[in-house]
Amino acid sequence: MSFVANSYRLQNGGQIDRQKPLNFSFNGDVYSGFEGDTLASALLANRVTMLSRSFKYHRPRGIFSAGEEEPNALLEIGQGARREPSCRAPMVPLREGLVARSQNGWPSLGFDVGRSIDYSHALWPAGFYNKTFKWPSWHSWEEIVRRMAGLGRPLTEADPDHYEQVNAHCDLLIVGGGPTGLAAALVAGRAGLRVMLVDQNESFGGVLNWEPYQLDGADAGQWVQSVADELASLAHVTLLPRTTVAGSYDHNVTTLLQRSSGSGWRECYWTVRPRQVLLAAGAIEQGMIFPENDRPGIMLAGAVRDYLHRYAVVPGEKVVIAANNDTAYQTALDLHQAGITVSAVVDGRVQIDAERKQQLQALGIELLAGARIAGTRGDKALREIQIEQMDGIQLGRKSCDLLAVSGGWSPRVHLFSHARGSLKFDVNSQSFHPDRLPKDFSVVGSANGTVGLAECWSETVRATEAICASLGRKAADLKLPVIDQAPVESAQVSHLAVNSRKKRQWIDLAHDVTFGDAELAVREGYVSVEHFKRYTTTGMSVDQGKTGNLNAFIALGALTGRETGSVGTTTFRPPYMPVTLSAIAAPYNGKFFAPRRLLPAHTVHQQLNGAFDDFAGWQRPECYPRVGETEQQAIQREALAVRHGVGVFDNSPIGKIEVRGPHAAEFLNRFYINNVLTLKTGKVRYGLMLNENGIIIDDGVFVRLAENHFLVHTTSGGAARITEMMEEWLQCEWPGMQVLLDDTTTQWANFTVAGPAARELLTRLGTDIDISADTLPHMSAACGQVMGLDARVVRVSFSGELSFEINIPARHAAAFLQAVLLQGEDLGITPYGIESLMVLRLEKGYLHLGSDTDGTSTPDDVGWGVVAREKATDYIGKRSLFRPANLDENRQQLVGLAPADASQPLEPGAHLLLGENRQVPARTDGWVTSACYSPNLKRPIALGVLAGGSRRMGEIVTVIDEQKRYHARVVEMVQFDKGNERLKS
Amino acid sequence: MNNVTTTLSALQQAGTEDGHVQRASLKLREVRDASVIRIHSLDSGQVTSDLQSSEIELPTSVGQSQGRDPVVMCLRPGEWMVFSEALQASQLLEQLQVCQSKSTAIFDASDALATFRLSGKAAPWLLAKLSSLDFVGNINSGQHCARTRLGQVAVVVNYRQPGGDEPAYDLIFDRSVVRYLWDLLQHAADHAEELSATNT
Repeated sequence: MSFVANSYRLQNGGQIDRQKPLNFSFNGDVYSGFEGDTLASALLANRVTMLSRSFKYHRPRGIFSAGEEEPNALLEIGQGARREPSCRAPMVPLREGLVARSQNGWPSLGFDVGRSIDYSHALWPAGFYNKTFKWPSWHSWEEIVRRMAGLGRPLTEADPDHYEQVNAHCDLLIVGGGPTGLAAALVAGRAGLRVMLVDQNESFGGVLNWEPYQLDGADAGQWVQSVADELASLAHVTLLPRTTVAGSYDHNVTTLLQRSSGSGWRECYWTVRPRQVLLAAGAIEQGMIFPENDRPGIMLAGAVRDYLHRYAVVPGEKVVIAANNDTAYQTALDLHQAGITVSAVVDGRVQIDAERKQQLQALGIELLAGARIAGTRGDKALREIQIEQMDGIQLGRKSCDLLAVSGGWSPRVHLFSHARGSLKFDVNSQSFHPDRLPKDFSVVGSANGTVGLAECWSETVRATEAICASLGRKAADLKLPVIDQAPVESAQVSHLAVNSRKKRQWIDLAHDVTFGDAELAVREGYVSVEHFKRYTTTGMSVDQGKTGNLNAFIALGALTGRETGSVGTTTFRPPYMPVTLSAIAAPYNGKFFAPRRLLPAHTVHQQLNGAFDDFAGWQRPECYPRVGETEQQAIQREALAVRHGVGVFDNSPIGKIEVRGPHAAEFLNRFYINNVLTLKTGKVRYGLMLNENGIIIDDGVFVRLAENHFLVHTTSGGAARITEMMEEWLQCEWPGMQVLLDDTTTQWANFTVAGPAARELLTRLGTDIDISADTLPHMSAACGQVMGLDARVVRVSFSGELSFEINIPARHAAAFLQAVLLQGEDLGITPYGIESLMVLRLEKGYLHLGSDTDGTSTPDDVGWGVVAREKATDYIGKRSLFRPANLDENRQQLVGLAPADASQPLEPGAHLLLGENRQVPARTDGWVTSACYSPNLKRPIALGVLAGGSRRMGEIVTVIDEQKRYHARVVEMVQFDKGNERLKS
Repeated sequence: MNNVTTTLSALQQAGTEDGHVQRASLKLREVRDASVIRIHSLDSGQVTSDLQSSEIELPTSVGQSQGRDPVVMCLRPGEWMVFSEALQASQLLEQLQVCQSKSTAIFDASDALATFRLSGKAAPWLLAKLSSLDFVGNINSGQHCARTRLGQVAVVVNYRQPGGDEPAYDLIFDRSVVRYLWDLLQHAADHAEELSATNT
């Protein structure tokens, strides 16, 4: 044995670059490793055996595995905003300056106050939080419990790194780049299929990288390299190392998380849509259930070989091996060859293969057959083990600092399970194997429970050839190398009885679930595997039972007198490994979170100092503050200017759906509560649309441009939704109707000129349309030219003023708006924003959908009940208006509100209580929906919904506005120009 | 009558002056003043027949596009988009007038839409970053079109039969989101080149 000074690193061997030392820190202490190390191998090489505290009991834990199945060594990596919690140490490539910390110990990893839970463990059995923390409520304790048992701290700062996303398609997605995955890729790639080969490790090859295989008389690495080179040369093959398959979904949609190799991005999230999936993900070695089986220094036997061969690291000097199958014997052979003392192999089986016995005998390693581990000692490191016969007779103790265990191998079937494949229990291997395959999904190699490289390859070639054939390709013959040397393989795994007298045997290291917890669960009746899982939490969360599930099934079987295979299985859920939220969200955050729609005259609004805000996805000016003016002052000024002169408003986002065809009128008549059939050409009508429950979903005017041609104005931002709804009714319910629907919202810019001088302004702009009050009265429309542009002019008003909505082709919007402002200069033209318009419409008591209505509002509630009910023909939602609940006279109905004290502003959201002397707490009778100060009425005004509001005109109500309490009078909704003289002028 | 004659490109309307991006394996630019006419018909057979005598031929399968200029794309049964850089919308409308009927709507959508032209070896990968369609595998399948979403923006993608060996696409979408999509495409461009370099 020859170690590098002060470390567990062997002098020679491994796939590390000893010329490139790397410094890193763990819990503030600086260590060094080499290029090619993982954080786990580098820590082990530095004899750091205790890395974490367990999830619940805060027991000392060390590295258990060499892969993504690691249940113990979850560390926090990085600093500041780049800090990442719960990284599995074996999966973290070592890099210069890497900073790692343990994450579940306070005040330090070595001395953890939380360990008191372990010492008082009898008080904290499975499900304790459902029993112990009921008073005063679970929520009083939740934060403390979560802080003590968490899986690291979430980030509090924005992630500064760049993440990528990409979609991809391929003929065949091969999951796993080990010997079977490489062979499959070679067959499919040579056949010309579009192949994606994915492996979570830095390089392809899988077990060939660390097990003692010899192929064609050479090291297996040579074959791996030649295959990888050939695949890389094929243009239709995509190789993705450092990539973990996260989940499999319907139709084989598969998500991958690729880690960067030093590019400008940190992670890339792939969504792949393969025609076929081939799972060649191998198997995960399982631990064994015995008392105190969680100490640092207890490690999977395969992981020991992995660290030995890949990193030249031996995690201990005095080794004992415990197993129930032959593969662990390879660990004994390899360690011995590396000069490490293996004092014994403890095998639960009585009948041991003669060759294995001879091998151990030749090396002087004691074999204890028909024996098991009865207990372990040591706190922060393993010191000693106790061995007993299977019948309980003690065989003595052995001093050791590494116990390599192997409880058999469980196929990596998580992805198969995501894809809804079913599993069957295999008695020989004591594990669950794929049974019924999902469509276009194949499993090969160890992932299918197949043992032996030759058998795996043979199965893989057959499966890949079948895939090629199903995709219309002929696979070329593949000459696979001769296997000259292979590690010990084992198709037989012995089921070992659990020593049920000892409670503190861990069945799930990740969630600190013990055999005692399992016993309690069964005692309380949780004998169904799904109930058992939830009660004990085994196999849940980020671990997904990689090393815990099989143990849990064994324990449940033992406790309920059932065979392990008859216990059933739980459902593995995606993601297989935790996926960074930033990768899922990328790039749709910040300014790309959602499309920001810009008005066609956006730049002109910018020049006018528009105060922009988001309105249903559109960036629109709320108002146009002048220098030294607040937004409130600007809104008041603009609202006054429209009433006294003329204003211009950019209403381009208003929905514009064109409805054409012989049945256009009948079609629309089925949507509106208003009669569409009687509308004459050139006329306009206001209407409400309902859903099937009679709830208002949209409002606006509709224009009859020609006999079979309508223009439907929807709410701003509602055009796509309403078009989609109309299309659905047309295609699914009324396919016989001859109707064409087209959303033309952005083809037309829409500018509203409003105010007493609006007609004068439009005349100055120049139009061939007769815009006189007689020819083009309120609620009428005409097509023609304005300023030489094709235009549709609609006389409707949401401000209550004389108003013309001028629709022109959108590309001319900026120039048109500038021309309007220029022509109206001496008329005192004022651009007004959407908040100013809200003041004007509130003075007129006009309904604003979304402000004055919610998901319960019916036509009755907003004063349109008579129209809705008296329409003779049927329309969507009509039937629901006659339901008793919708006819209740105490429904909340829209009313006008005026404060009793004219100096008291009303605030939207303030609650209304019927009567003058009401006190809180009380059930609300309504609330203020819209409110503002009216510069034209010179007092606050509001709309609100009130129980039975339509018959409470003149009543005084109590207004509760947070801490304030005052009174308001119920008034008519229209508070300005009640005779509508101005808009009709 | 005072005539308004000033027009701006969609990007200029949105306050972005420079409508060109040029990288090693990617080119992106705005196609200015393109004409787009939409045909929507309840009687596909009739409208196809009506146009037989004209220079414009309507493709009959959804996803098919044909012609260099104008390009006609079949977006769904009974719906086509006619795209031209050379002809004005009024000229296209005149040619298509023959099929205007009670059951067929023909209308100018030039102002509603904006167009980007994306070309270069990395172009399919750039699109693959934002859309779930198979752009990389369809390079060799000839001229075609598809409706998809790039990010959250509904886009008609027309794959132009490239003159050389570099794929080229026209992306036609709602004018109001021109700046969002421009910024998003530029943002997505870097890694697209890297993907292209490592996967083709």
